[in-house]
Amino acid sequence: METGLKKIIILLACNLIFSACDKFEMRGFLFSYESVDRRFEQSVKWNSENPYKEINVATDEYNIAVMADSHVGSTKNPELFLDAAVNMNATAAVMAGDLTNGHEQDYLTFYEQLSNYDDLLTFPVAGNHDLYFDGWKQFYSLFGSTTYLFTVSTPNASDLFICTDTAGGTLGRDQLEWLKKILETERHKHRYCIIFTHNNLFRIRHTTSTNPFVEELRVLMELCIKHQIDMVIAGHDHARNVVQFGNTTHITLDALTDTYKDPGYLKLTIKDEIEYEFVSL
Amino acid sequence: MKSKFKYCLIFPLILLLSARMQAQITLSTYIDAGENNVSEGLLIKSSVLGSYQINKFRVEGGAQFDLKNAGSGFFTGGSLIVAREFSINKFLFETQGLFLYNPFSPLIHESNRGVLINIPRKHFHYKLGTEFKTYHITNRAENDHDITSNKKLSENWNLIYLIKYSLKPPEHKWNAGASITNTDHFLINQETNPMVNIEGRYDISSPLTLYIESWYKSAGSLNISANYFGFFFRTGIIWKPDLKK
Repeated sequence: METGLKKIIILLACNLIFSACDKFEMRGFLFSYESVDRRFEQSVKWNSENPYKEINVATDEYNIAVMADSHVGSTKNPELFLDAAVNMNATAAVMAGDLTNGHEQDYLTFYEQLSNYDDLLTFPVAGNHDLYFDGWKQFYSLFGSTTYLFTVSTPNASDLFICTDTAGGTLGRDQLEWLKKILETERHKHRYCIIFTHNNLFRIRHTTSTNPFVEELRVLMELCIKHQIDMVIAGHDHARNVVQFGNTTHITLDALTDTYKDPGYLKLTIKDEIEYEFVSL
Repeated sequence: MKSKFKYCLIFPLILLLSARMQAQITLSTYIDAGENNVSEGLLIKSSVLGSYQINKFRVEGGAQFDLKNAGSGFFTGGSLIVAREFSINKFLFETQGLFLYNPFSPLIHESNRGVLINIPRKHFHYKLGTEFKTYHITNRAENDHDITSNKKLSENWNLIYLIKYSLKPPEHKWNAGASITNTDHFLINQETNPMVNIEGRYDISSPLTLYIESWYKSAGSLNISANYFGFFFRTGIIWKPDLKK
């Protein structure tokens, strides 16, 4: 009985590890193409050559459009999102990971699509699917950094937006140190602080999507309280969710992908308070 | 009030003494040394566990102390387990109710309540259960950071699991094995974050057993983009006196 069970487990494991399909690459269960520290190192290098964006707006109210999990391949919903961002006169469009399925062709398709929206400021963040099939190389060559910040200044205030890389299920040691330092040195200069990342921190509903290790989560929760983080916005789970813990609102986005039954994005309106609205497509 | 407290102490004591011949005490202490993405270098933890078994019932308690870690706390974990063995048609198993408390930060504490079924076999060992995890914002955080509401966040129905294979049967003088699990004495991870453990033990001389474990944690396993998170080594000693002697 036990020998039979062992054989079944070994067969299943081999099948998982060495198989791949259009969307998944199972070798990632054991090995990633590069570590999160390596991606962070490259992001820092890119940041040193491309300074953080400081956006100025003339009014006290502005909009930010946020999407995640577009999984290009197909581009119908991403196009609707980009059109909506233009129509709402979005100051920025943040794309919180899983923009593609990792294939070179997916990246080229998405990049070409974005090039039709030259006037829209876009802020891409890598997700786990973006790393499959050695996808980080494509991401880096087309979009550059996945760990960075940008600021938006209105006539009366300045807001801080931080994009982080949790595509590998962890921030990693170096990126966490960077985040702590940014929060210590920059947070107090700004009115609001919003963090964008791909992996949702909390496991509010049952799915197979991964969250950070509890030990890492504890550190992140403490940082959110200590530095008065207003929002953490993530994707990954493909289903909208809002949970409030202390003064921080944790938002998980609907997937934008064409294959999702109820695709959507998030519209942030930032004024004397932060308002959010889930928009279904 | 005082007399109530007295009875609370005396009654269990009488029970313990009267049942001494059928009882089994086990004490264990161990030390963890390793590192992970959030430890800011070497982490060292020390823990003590004690259990008292009488017939089919068992109560276990433990405490964990951070000797060196990135966090500011010293006492970082407490555990309480109440268990009962069952046998149905020669199918032996134990059910457990557990409570873990982790005051890992002055701002947030964590508690876990769970139930599980523990199935030890000759070479395999399985655990399967569920737990409810709650993060609590402390009074200090409320005062220092002006938090007036939403002081609790719960993650419910997290799966607890362990699958372990040992080379030798449990009664053998030495043993070695490997396991995959999302739980440890003072920690329950979300079910999608498994940990791998390779372990060995040796009965030095009755009633002492020495053991060593090595734990590896890989983030994002079910993200299908696994990244290193951390590892640690554990070494400890178990003292299990034969009270019938």
